[in-house]
Amino acid sequence: MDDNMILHVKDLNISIPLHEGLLTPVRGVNFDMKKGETVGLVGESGCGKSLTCRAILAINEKKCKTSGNILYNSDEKGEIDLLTMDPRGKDIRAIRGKEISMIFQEPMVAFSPLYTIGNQITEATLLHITKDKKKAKEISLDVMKKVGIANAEKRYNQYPHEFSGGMLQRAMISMALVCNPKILIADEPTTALDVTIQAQILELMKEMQKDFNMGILFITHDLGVVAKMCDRVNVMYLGKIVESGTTEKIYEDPEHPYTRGLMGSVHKIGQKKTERLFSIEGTVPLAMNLPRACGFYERCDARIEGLCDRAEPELVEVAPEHSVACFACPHPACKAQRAAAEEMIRREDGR
Amino acid sequence: MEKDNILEVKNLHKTFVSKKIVVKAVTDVSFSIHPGETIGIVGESGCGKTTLGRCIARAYQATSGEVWYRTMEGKEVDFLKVEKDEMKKIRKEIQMVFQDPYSSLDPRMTVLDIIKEPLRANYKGIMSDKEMNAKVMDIANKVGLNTTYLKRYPHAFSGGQRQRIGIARALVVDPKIVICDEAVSALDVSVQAQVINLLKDLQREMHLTYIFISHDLSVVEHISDEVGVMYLGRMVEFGKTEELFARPRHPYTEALLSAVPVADPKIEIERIQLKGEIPNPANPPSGCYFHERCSYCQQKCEEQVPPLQMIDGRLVACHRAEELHLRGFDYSE
Repeated sequence: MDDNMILHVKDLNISIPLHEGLLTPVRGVNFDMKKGETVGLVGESGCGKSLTCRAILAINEKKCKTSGNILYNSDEKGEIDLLTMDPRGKDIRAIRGKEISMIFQEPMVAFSPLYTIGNQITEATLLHITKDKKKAKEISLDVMKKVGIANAEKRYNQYPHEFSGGMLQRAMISMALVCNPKILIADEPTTALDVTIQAQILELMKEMQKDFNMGILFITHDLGVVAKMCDRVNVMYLGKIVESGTTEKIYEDPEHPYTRGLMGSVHKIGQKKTERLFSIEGTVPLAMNLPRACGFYERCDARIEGLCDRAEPELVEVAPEHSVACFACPHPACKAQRAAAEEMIRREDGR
Repeated sequence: MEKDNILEVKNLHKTFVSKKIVVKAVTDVSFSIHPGETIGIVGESGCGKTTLGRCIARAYQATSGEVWYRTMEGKEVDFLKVEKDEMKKIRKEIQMVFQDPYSSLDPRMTVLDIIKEPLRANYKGIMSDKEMNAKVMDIANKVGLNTTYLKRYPHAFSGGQRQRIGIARALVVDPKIVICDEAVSALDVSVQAQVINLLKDLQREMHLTYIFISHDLSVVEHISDEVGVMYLGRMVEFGKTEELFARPRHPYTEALLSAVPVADPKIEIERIQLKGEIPNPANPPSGCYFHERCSYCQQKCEEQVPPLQMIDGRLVACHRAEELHLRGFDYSE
């Protein structure tokens, strides 16, 4: 792995055996993250984005069968594969919460109501930094002040129900940052918040990113937030990344029909009114017993019958820092993939 | 009531009392709606927008104020004071669609029964069961539900489908006004677009008037003809959508607009920092409720409550509305 890379997810597969069959919510996800950059993972509910980020910390439920590689560039140990570690072992626990930490969607649910905020923040400090309780408290208070919690000494001894949603999210961020992580995974951190609070939290995250020089993996379905936060974006659909590129590229010139659909279905505030929003028909299919076909086939407006329903396109690079997985894309690299797939189908038919 | 209005809300108040705490959830809200239009109500959580919607539908009994409504027969009535017998006749004309499509449908009723229930409540003895079923089928087709699945229970449907069920339930009695309380907030973006398009189509087809309550300013801007901005139970600004978004006249509207993340990385908006947090509605500040957080605050603002007054065709509750030049979105492109 390159020196300025911090994370490289390679061919990640997650499957969950159920009574009804094998659920495959994540099917071969590849992406990487440079030091100090923000990578977005965008998609609708059920596309596997949360499972992907939880797999990095190995906190998925036991029944999730995971394969592939998650390479992490640690300062101390060099390149390590997080997936080979025992999810309950010592090694991953030294990384989890210290070098890679996470903030969750609903701050109201993520905190335990039975312990004070200070207690919960200090837990991480005691575990990873110092055994001295006094020092740990000082460190926690410092971080709480840094994320803009006014009156930190008083707040330290309060319980989660005494905090507002925005303040709780700040507390959660301070909990995640207390050990100076290299990577912060943010799973829809502002979805439950009001716009004004959301703007505050996003700005705070950007500031903290600069201060700590950490990479942020930002999971969201809000395209407005992505535009504001991310350097690069990966668009996920049905457990696969269908398009990936720099934020400007993806917003200016989306190539995959799903990305185009997503962009069209959001009304951009401050622009002339269009009568109708573009809408993608149908719903996301269940990731079970999927046929060998493009996952988006049923809902796609650019589908090629006899091709897209018989072969699955892979992510190919169409320009530097821009990859698409679609047969209908007019780019030469995609055309080559299409030709190969058509050839394969012809051979199958001939047999 | 003015001739071309379908609904006029006048000085509506709603106070909740629990033990010794008095919370003014809605304070002195007034506005009016033309038939066939969509009014958006925006504001942060706790600003009283849901309470306002429920008071208009008389799901809550308002503490004081009037809601003048022109019925289907053309009579003008104060919806809040209509007697029981008459209420039975006109209640169906104002319907609600709720936020959470998972908790607003009874899991033990089939979809057919759910959509039929308002008919049973309103047309018992007038309409035969067969007629009711025909009506349900008709509305289910209109909202894009597959009628072969109506015998199923809600759990078998996806979020977008459930919201369609909720819409069908509201529309089956041919209402004139539909109050949509965060009707698309719980849905994924692509499904959200489907439901918004559906609501617009139905509005044209059935000549509906919407009161669209949402915290999502992009959605409200897209769907509404006029928008009301609420803060701490008060309507601080009310006016034509594009004018209001292009040139807000209340400092709170300006701050709210500047916080919206726009789905375009090239647009960079400088956010207006609001001081502090939303005050406790049980203990609101003196004068203008917004003065503690407002950067344009003067002494007058601390002492007097600004009335909602008409300035250039816009209702604004700010002492300095006329002199301030606030920043909105640039529509020129």
